[in-house]
Amino acid sequence: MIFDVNVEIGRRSDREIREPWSRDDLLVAIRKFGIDKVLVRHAVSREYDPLIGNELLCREIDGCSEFEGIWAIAPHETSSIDEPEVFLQKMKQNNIRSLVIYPLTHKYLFDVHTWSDIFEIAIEYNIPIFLSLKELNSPWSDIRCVLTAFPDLRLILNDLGSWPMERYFYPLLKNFKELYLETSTMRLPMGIKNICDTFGDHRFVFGSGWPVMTPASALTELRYSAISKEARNNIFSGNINRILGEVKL
Amino acid sequence: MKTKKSIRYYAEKGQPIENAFIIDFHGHIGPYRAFYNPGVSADDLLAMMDRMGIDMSVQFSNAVMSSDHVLGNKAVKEVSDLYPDRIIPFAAVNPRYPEEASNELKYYCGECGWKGIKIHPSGNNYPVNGKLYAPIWEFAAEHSRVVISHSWDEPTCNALAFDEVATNYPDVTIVLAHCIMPDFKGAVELALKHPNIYLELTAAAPLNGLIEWMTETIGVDKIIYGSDLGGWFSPGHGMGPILYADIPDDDKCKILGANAAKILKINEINRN
Repeated sequence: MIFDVNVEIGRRSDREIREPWSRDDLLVAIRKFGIDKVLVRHAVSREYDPLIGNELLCREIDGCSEFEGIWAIAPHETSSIDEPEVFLQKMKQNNIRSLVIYPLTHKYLFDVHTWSDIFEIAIEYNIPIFLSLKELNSPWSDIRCVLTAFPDLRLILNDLGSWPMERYFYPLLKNFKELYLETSTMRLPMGIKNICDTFGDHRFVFGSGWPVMTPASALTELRYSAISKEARNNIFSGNINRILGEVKL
Repeated sequence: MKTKKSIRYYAEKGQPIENAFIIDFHGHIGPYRAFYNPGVSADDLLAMMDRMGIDMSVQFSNAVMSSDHVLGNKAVKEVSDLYPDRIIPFAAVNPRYPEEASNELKYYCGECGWKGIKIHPSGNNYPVNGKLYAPIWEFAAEHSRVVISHSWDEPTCNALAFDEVATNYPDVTIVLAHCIMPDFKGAVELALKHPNIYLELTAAAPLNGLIEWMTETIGVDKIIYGSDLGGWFSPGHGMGPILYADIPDDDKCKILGANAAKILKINEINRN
């Protein structure tokens, strides 16, 4: 089974001509590449408004068994987002088990003061938080500070960058057991194998970066990595299924 | 074509691509200062190639863009001497050391018979159409050597600079690594305008739909697979988009190796 956790639907302001974007485009893509399930976010949540994007997402993926939604969240004091208790109820009603935050795009600091309410709830309910490295100005020191304050926060890093970043994230993987990496840009030679050998394959979840990237890259990188079949299966789906299965909503 | 199974068949199984002769046109020997990259010895490099079914790999040194080109060429020679039928060594030179660059080319491309030259205008912070590069282009023209250059949409190596070089040296086969990323439109315009310009896909291939767009725009004969194999990236991330592209397998074979073999004048070998 292949479970892709890095997928975004919806119209994008910087779309390349002919770039796919819609729910139907995504269905075509996952069938072409043999992807069984996707954790999908909505571009409107990122580019326009989290609440409107979240509602749009639920409408658009309704009835598609291959899709599970991720909702965007932001501090409720300064956004359209509901207070945490109300937000949690809506998550449960809509079968949402994971969240994504966009600190840079939505103009929030990624720090303990801004996000503490949300991170405390995420820890209490085992809700994983997805965060793209593109969303931080000083990603590694910011992540270190937040995880030092919230070591049990399940943080999954998307879009690790065009160039290998091992020297930044190795110390973080060593010190924070609930930090996970998504694979869409993992391409250092032997990189996936070295991390599996050092920290365990459970630190990875599979992501493609669709629609900006073709799933062919991440699929091929993982299929040809020199790791065991069991480790590969865990990265393709086992790890994210376990993480989402442990959400207590 | 080695067998009748489709290229995608092997990709989906994670097995070596047995039905295409594959040349990876972009590889780096040696460490890069910014990466933690254990386990990329010569044997590791060959193991990565075998896992994907890569027959041959063009290799040049990481040192050309970030350090000592003389040291780097020696490191490449050590590996290519170990695996002469798998590694295609290119001499990498820094134009800021004109006399040394000339000597390096005379030795490696002359005495050793290496087939090509690698330059990195961005890493050496010197424009590809600048006067210090002129002797290198002249050497390549005189000795019929292929030149692969880092190309990116930045002042030292953008479409405008390569337009001038390709015009001034029409007999030099120029391979634009990274397709002037992200100015792909500029890259394909150059490939259409200049018979001596080829486009190499390192780092660009993962962008969704790029390969299909390029093949529709310029055909397949001037598109070449490369991955930054070894010192930077593993081959799968860059090869995957070709393996799954919505183009015929014959076209994939051209991109994966036949086009490179043609410009390098290499006959297909059977590693079995």
